[in-house]
Amino acid sequence: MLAFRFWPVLCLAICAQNATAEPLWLSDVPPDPAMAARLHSGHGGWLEPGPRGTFFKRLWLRAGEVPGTAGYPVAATRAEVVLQDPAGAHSTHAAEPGGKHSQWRFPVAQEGFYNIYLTQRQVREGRLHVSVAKAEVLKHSCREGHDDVQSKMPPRHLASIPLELVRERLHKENFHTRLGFGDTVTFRVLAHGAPVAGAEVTMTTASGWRNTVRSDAEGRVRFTLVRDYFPDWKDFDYRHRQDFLVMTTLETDEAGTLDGVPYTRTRYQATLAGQYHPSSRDYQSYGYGLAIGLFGLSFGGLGAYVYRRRRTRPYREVRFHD
Amino acid sequence: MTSLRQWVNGIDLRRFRFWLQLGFFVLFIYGGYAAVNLGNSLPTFACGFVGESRGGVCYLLPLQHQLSVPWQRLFSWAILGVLEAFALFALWFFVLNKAWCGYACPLGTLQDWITALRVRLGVRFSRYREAAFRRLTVIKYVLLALTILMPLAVGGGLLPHSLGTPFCDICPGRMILPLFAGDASQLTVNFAEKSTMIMTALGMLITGGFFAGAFVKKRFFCFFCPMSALHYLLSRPALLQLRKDGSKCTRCGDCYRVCDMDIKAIADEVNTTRIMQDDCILCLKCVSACPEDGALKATFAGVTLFEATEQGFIKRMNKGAAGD
Amino acid sequence: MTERQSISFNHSRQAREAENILNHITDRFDDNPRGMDYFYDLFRRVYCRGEALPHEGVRIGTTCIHAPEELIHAVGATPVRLCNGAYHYDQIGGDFMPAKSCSLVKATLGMLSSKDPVPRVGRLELIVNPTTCDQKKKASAMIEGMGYRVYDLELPPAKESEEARLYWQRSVRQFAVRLSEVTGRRLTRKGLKAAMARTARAQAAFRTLHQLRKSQPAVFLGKDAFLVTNAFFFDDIERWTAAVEALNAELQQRLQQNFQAAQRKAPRILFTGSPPIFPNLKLPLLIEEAGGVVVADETCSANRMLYDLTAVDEWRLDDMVDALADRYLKPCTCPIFTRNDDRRRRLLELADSFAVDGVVYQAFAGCQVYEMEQRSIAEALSEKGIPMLYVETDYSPDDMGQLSTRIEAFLESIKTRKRKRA
Repeated sequence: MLAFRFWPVLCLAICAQNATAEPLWLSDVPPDPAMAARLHSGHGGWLEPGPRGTFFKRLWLRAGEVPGTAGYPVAATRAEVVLQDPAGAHSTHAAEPGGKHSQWRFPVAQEGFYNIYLTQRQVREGRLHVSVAKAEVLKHSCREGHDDVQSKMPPRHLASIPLELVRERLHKENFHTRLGFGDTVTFRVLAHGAPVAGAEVTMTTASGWRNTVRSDAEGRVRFTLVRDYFPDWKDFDYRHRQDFLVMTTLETDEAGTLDGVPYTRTRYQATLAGQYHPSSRDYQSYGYGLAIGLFGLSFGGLGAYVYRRRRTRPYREVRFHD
Repeated sequence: MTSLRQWVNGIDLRRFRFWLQLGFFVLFIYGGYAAVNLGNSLPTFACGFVGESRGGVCYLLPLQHQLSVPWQRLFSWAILGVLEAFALFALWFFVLNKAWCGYACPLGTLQDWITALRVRLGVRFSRYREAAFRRLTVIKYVLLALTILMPLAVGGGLLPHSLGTPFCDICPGRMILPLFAGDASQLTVNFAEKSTMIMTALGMLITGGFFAGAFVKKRFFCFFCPMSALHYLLSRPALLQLRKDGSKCTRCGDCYRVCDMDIKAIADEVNTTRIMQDDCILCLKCVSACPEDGALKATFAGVTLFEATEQGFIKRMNKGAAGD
Repeated sequence: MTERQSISFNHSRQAREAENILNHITDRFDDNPRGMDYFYDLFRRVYCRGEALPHEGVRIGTTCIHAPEELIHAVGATPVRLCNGAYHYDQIGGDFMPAKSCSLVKATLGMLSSKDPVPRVGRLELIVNPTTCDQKKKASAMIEGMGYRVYDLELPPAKESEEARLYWQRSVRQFAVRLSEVTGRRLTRKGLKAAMARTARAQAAFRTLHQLRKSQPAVFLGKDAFLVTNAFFFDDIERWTAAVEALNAELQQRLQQNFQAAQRKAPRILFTGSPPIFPNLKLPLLIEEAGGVVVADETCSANRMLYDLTAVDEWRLDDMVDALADRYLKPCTCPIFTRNDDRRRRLLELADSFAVDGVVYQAFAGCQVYEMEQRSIAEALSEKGIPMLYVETDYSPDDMGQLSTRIEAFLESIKTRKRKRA
């Protein structure tokens, strides 16, 4: 049973920061340190611990293209939320607008990937803007064991979603895999479950670097995550998390009315956020490792050899001279 | 029945041990491909870093993971998980006692293969002096204490999280065993934090030293193994035991001569029947090298499985003298 | 000056001494095993007729069982144990040795100082003298003075410590090097393996014989057992092993036929102490002629020489030589070491597994170490309720009468005890 909680509506500001051009996306990064203190990092991101060892996932709505500086708007319009659990079962809920920061909390009990789609519809200037913010949440605790990981790995999509981005898995990816600098990530653009060719997909990294690629015939795009984390070595944090945002838009000629307001064109926007970290190649060195290993082997070996040789030589007499 | 007994007491222990060790090695490194999963509480170095092909996980890895959770979680409901894993570990251990070391441990098997290589190359082995032996044998208890205390300190916030699995960082099994499954990713030095840098560098150093040491000293690493120390604490009630009848012992020292771990007490202890020491790996070489009937025996729940016999000794030693 | 007619050896007093004992052994007892004929014949030829022993290669004399024989065999030489049991040589040795010396040392030195001694072992390239008891140690220089090449094999005075073990291992290794020099042959792995295999076969044959003597009632007499092990001193090892294996087969058959070598109620005696060496089998013969049977012994002319088996872990030269060194030191129950715990335990174990009724402890007059140990042994045995007879004797036949009285009394007291307990 899903429960959506909303913070009490303090001021229902209809006109929020919901600027028309700004993409909306879902993120699990908390807005304030007080919240952050209650959270706990798991393999898939931040988790909120509940009673008796259960965990909840809290997602916030974000607005803004650059993940590092995107704001936390208040949801201005009613939204529709679809939640798909790792077993494949999905349920739809309505979400009312309001709250200081729009957020959604749901229990994550099963191991695997949860998909959450937040769809907002708004008609502006005769055009229906449909914004589908997707979040793919991984829940994994090593305590649950690692049997049968591969069956839970493949990404899932829903045919009812008008436009979505799906991140294809890396080669031999498992629950512990983290995307790192230099990794090439593949996304697929699907509209109602069917691939979209020629769609423009833009990836924006944490600091604002962006790249736009067109999807191929099967709706696939490939991005290479660039490194944009250049701290001093002593400040280097190998777990430094950065978010990237991938988004795409699709324009169609669908016409109709929404709550009595007519529209002649439709514009779909799909977003998907993800996290990436410094890749292990940044801080793990085979060269040093093997060099030290060889040193240990040769030092140990040489030491043992010299010791054994010395003991086979005749006793050296000690003599004094004045 | 007697003839069966005689046959068992006269078997070529070396060959038996070789095949059993090989079997366990394949089971622990490749068993996952046959959907074998013996769980996370194995009392032997079935390394958890091997990946999906492993047949089970060495208990020390989950132990360190479990102990490094924050204290308020650890000392409340999470302690049940720790106790459950420990109980399972104790149960596995209870059956075979330290024969897990002598017959099942992949790292031990690897050392025995290196020893066989050395013998083939004609290089003689080294022994520790007794004083050095007594001093070195303490190291494993120190390592066991660190393996338990450091994750606890991590849980209490006293140490950084990267020191949460201190023994796994330095254990040569983590570097070497995944190589057999085609994974060389553990051979790195991790510069991410100062602590990981030191620990992984230490680990690679120890791995290099492991090969050098195992080449000249039989079962070099087993002296320093914290799993061995943990075993010894639980070894008294276990089912498989090494027993001695001191009255039959002539103190000839043949058992001491062949012991991989240089345990003198097997030869010299004549007053007690329980002679298993903390270094013993229950390889039963001593039993096979004892020429006095009934002086040494391996018992399982009190039933004698393998006993030293004069005829068995003569058969085995002459085979060595003839063949090899 | 009249020419004295030289007496042929087999008419000499020395030969007659040997023949006397041998006749006792063969004639005073019924139904000796046919396998013993080989040994009777061997002793008759060597000791009574003075025949030379056919040997191949270089001969190296040893004065103690501590010298590793396998090493000598491995370099193609033949070890000959020189410890002598003849009263004839004891008297000769007594001319230049102190009066209170051990008869065995006197006899050995007497033999070595004689021209063409019996047994006729031929020319000795080297004599290996392990530094065991005082008298043997001092004998080193004396033997050298007689014109022999002597090698002092340094044995540690205590055997428990690691230093002693390493010291002995070094001694043995250096001995191996010296042997190579003397014989001109290198010590090789194959050679040593073959030598160890031959000795192992001999030891296995002895062990079978040893186990056969456990039978109740006894199927084999001690007088024959001593003869068998005494033959090992000078006989060719492979011939000896074959003969013992034939003897074992015959004894096994006799066992199945419930043959009794001695009376059913004969007291079973464990013989320990100074080694009885042919022809000085005085005491064992007295015991058995008086109705007892020596079922086991703890002496270096019999049990201790062949009982312990060598275990090798890696069949490479270094480990094999060290394994030999360990086998010759660690289980040794010779009283020349500081502690005698191992000897006590060995005696108790033998007493237990052979169902022994009494122990006869022989000490040669002048043998300080055996004499000093007798008290602690007697205490250990009396704790277990095993009576012990302490006999101090030497090679001279003068005390035979007194000894036989004492032995008879001892055996009688044992029989009474058994009857009382029954």
